[in-house]
Amino acid sequence: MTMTMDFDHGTVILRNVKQPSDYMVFDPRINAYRAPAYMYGRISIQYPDADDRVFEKCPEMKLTHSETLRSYQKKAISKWKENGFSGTIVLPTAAGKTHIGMEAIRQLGTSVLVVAPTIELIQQWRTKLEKVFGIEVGQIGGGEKTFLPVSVSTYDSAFLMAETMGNKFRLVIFDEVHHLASDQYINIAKMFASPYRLGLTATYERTDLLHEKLEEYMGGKIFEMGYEELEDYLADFSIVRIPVELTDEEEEEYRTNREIFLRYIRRERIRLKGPWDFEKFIMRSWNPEGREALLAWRRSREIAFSARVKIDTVRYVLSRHRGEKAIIFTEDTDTAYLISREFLIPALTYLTPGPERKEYLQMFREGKVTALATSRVLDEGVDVPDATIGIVLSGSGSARQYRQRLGRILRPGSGKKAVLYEIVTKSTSEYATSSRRRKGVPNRSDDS
Amino acid sequence: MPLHQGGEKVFPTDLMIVKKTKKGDVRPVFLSSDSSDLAQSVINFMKSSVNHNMDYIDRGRKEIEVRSRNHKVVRGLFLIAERMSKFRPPSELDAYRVRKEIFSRSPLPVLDHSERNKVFMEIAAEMKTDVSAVENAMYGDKESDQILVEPPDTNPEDLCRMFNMEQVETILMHSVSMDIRRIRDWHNVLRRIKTLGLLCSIKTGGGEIESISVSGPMSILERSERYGIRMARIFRLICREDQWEVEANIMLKERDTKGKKTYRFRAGDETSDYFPEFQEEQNTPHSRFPVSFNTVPVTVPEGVIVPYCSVNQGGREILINLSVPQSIDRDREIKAYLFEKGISMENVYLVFGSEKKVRGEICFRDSINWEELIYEVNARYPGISTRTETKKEKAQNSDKMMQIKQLLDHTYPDSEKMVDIIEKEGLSAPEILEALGYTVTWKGLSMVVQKKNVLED
Repeated sequence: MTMTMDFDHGTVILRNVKQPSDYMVFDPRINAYRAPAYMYGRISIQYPDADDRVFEKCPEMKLTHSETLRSYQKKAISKWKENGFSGTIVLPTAAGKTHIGMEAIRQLGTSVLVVAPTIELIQQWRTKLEKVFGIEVGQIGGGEKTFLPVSVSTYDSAFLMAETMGNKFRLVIFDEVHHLASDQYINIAKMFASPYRLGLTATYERTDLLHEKLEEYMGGKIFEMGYEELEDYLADFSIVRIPVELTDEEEEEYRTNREIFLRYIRRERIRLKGPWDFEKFIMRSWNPEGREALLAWRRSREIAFSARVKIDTVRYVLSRHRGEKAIIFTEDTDTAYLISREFLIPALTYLTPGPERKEYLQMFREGKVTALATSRVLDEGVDVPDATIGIVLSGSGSARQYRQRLGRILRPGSGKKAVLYEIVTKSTSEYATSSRRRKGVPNRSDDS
Repeated sequence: MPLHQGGEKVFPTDLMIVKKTKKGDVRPVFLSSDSSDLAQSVINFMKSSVNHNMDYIDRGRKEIEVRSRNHKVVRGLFLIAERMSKFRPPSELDAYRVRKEIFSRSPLPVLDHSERNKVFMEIAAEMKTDVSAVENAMYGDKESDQILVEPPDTNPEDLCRMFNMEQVETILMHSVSMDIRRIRDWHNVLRRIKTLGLLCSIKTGGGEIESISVSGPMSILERSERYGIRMARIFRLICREDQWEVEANIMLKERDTKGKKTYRFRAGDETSDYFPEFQEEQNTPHSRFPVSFNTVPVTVPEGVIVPYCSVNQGGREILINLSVPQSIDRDREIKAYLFEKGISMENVYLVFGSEKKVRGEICFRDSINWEELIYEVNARYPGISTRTETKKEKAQNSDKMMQIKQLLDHTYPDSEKMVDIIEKEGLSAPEILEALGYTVTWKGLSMVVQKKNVLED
């Protein structure tokens, strides 16, 4: 009897196997062998005579585009090809990773799913793919569920639907692939049978080292270039740090809360050296004292991050750059809404419905609004070529988040000079947070 | 309390309160009548917060949290109480429309207060309302701005029971595998396992089911928590039984290391009093139908199946195996195997939501239509159906086709929706479309439907 291969809920079921391989496991519940779906490429090479029913039939697509690739983009693509059409390409934000993705799609001419972390990003990919290839593109996520040979999806939707979607696309492109390494999303890589895989990111390494997992499922890092090597292709930029002071009232409240927090961690001998230590502190805060310390820490952070004077500083920066396109980044959604209400500009947060996000970004691109307030949803990948001003009102200490935010204003433009402002509250822990995140971006900063 | 599907909404993991033992067991912390005071204070606070917004409720919750011994309990009780309450937006104006008006006034951000007030006044005048209504409506659809209208209609004991239920479901969300034992009526449990896309191994003894081990397709390859959410959704069905026992392997993050450890969780009918009572959603056939639920497990290659029911057709027993489309290959193998042994069995499929019906098999959406099921079984086992029924079938089919045609004509040229309409009826889209005067071509993974005369023109 002929050996058969079928896709089943993120696995491949193999029947009538004469010589099973070590990665196949006999499943007595169905009386057949099973292998994880990501092994499909290997199985199909190893068992060429098997009746392969894993993928739905899809005619070959002849896609063309008129985009010209830069030399480093061509090199990246050829490395990917040499690696059997799999692997991750690491390039700074604004270095044209989307172009590389589109070239990969053109070269393979097969069904493809582009997976990205936010609705903005998948909408951006969709618009570009439709424009460049002149085709209709499907979308899974953000309230839509249209499967077409070329489709886009959020990580969340791809994760939720991996069991049914894993055999629909032969090529899968993971934009901002560092997200894929998380405990949850790595299941997408495992449960998709796609034999061709491309990862794109500006920030491959994760502090939790989970990126090491990507080696097995994505084919490892195959090409990397940094900001310094690509200066000719990026907009000129500078970073300005504006220190601000708390009001007397705010300062007193800040000190009181900070003291409660510090007293507790000293007493409990908790040492906070990194995010993992902080997670431990949160897990130990189950008792009333710990809870009080945690709430005090949160309150002191809120005061530092959203000091009233920061709003006035934003007002000053916006008036200085009147008419230029500006993105105001905040750490939390409440501050984004506060900015929105104050300056009557759109706020884009994870709470903003998909169509509305799309509408505001379109208005921003068309110049119908010139400023946007956002929490973290615009941190990554969103392409607003003529944004020149970034204002970091509050943020984490993550260098990755900072690089990504900087990247939002670095898209090249003729004679463009981008400025990233960082508004930081003096004499608070926010100063140290700011210094931490600055490591990892080229040093072009001024303290004003 | 209605049974629903169970576990659609559970606590976030950080509200899980468990005790871990050195032996590797994990036990939930249940609220008993001792906790009624806390539950009562949550209910009282909600009752006193009518006409206040969620922000106000959040602040009140934090104050109660600081006073209590365990803030997680307070947060959990509030979460349930909020879900049981009714809220309204702070303004009757449409928030999205108001925002659109505001942002389209000027491309530049508004930098001084008088300019800002002017914008609100203009919009208020256009919308024939006052400035505060416009300001409130700007983000009136945000959760934190919602105003409490109706507090939860519950008592402290029931609130505690619901808390316990969600605690267990939250723990089970981290299940790698789950064993169910001591249940008398396995049908509903087995049906739920199948409809959730899970797999199970059945252990029998003396013709009775002793236990069922539940896992997912990937579980054979790795210890995955992926199916935990689905396993949690079975629990409500189990704990309403008179006798029950659940044992699960739970994968939990360790407090002091980055790794995860597997713990054993066990609960049984001795804890039933801690959980709310459920009303079962009934879908039993009318007594005029020859249906029996007294089916016994049937041994098949590599396992056992438990037919959902049997239909008596002129003295002949037809077993009904209720299943889900994902198991179709295995179901067909079993049907063929039993046929060779002289046992008649029909696979019946249930689909939910936007799932497409299974072609060529008996298939229902959401629940069994007993009249149709009996009719289908009649048709599949000849010598029982009558002449009148055939006429009735023809008439029904003809009416149905007319209805489908009308829907298709109305939906044309949206090919995808047209295909959906047909496939949801369990019919083959290309055949039906051809028969109804359309042509079908393939574009990638999609069918493109065109009217025949359009092409000919």
